[in-house]
Amino acid sequence: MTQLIDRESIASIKKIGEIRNKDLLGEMLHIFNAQFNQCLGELNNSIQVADSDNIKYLAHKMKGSCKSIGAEALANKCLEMENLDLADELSYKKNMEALYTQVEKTYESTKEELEIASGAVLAE
Amino acid sequence: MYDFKVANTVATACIGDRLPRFASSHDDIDTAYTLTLDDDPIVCKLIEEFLGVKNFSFSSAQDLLRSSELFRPTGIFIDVHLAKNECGLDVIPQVRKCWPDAPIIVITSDDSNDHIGQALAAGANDFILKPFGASELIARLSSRREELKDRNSQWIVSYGDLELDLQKKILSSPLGQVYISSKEADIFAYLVRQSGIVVEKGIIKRHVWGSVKVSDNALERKIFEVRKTVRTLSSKVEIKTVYGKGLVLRLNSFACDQELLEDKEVLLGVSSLWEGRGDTTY
Repeated sequence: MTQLIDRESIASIKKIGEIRNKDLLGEMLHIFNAQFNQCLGELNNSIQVADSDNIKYLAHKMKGSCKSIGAEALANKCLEMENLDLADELSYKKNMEALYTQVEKTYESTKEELEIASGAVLAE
Repeated sequence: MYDFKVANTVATACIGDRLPRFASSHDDIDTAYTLTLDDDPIVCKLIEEFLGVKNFSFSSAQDLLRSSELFRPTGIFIDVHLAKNECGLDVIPQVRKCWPDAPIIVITSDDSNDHIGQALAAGANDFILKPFGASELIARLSSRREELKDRNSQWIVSYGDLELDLQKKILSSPLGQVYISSKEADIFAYLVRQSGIVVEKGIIKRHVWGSVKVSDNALERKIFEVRKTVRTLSSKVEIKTVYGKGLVLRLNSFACDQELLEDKEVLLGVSSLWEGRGDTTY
């Protein structure tokens, strides 16, 4: 089973932060949080109109951000979204909505884990 | 304002013993920076922090290409997936044209061989998969920089204060640069290799044109052009005709010899060595 966060990626960012005497992980998580929330909003709108092109684009972008920050499980959920093909609009929308809920849930648990890892509280 | 010196010091410190250095001794610490074409601010920030030098980020290929006159980056990172309907791979040939000396490293979160193969075929020097760590990023950029430097140095021929880029066909000196034709470049390069030696015109013809028959007039016209360009760019180097024998490329006076020698001594730090030896008595 995929782990929620990749400790190695987190440790790598933390280490550079320590050497540079700054809370680099905290900064990165702040950017990640802002970016991810914005994408979630756009994704929700795109699902409502079944805009599969934009969904694929957003899911890919979110996946990349997740991988960079070490949010492994969330990256996999985004990949599922990216790979979901538009067979017929109704089932696509239904499946995508279900995936969206999973992404939201995974994001919440990932956020908690990342907060613990960084020792910082992410801004809402 | 971004502090390059602090950033680079930190980069060197963070690289430490376990990680290779990004900035080589040839890099000017104050001017080392990278460019990134990626619409993900996280990747751009990570690159800047990992390398410890300023990273200018662009989210559209058009903006990056528009800035080609402004930047001389030490490396360029390009994401495969840019904004909707824009692919980073499509822009690689144009980026390569704008910055032939800078390594292009493609970033991707897909480990698909298709993307990697296409990126390399389009002119990228390397690729990096997300997530990437500081040591991998630094190592890839450093080695690709060294490779390009080695490759490009094979195309440079220099004599006196003149330098010829055989690839770009540019003859340059501190006074400026002039584009010359392919044959003129070949003639100059050959004369540099034979500098100080009188070379027969027939030998130049054979070397530059091979078995193709070329009239003396055509050769004279090319030599005239090369000589004119050399005169425009340097007062220290000349192509002298030795009547009845051929041509010789040389420094045009003893004073210039001395001047060039002194320049080289300063560059090599020879002067300081000699100063140190002043106290020694034999």
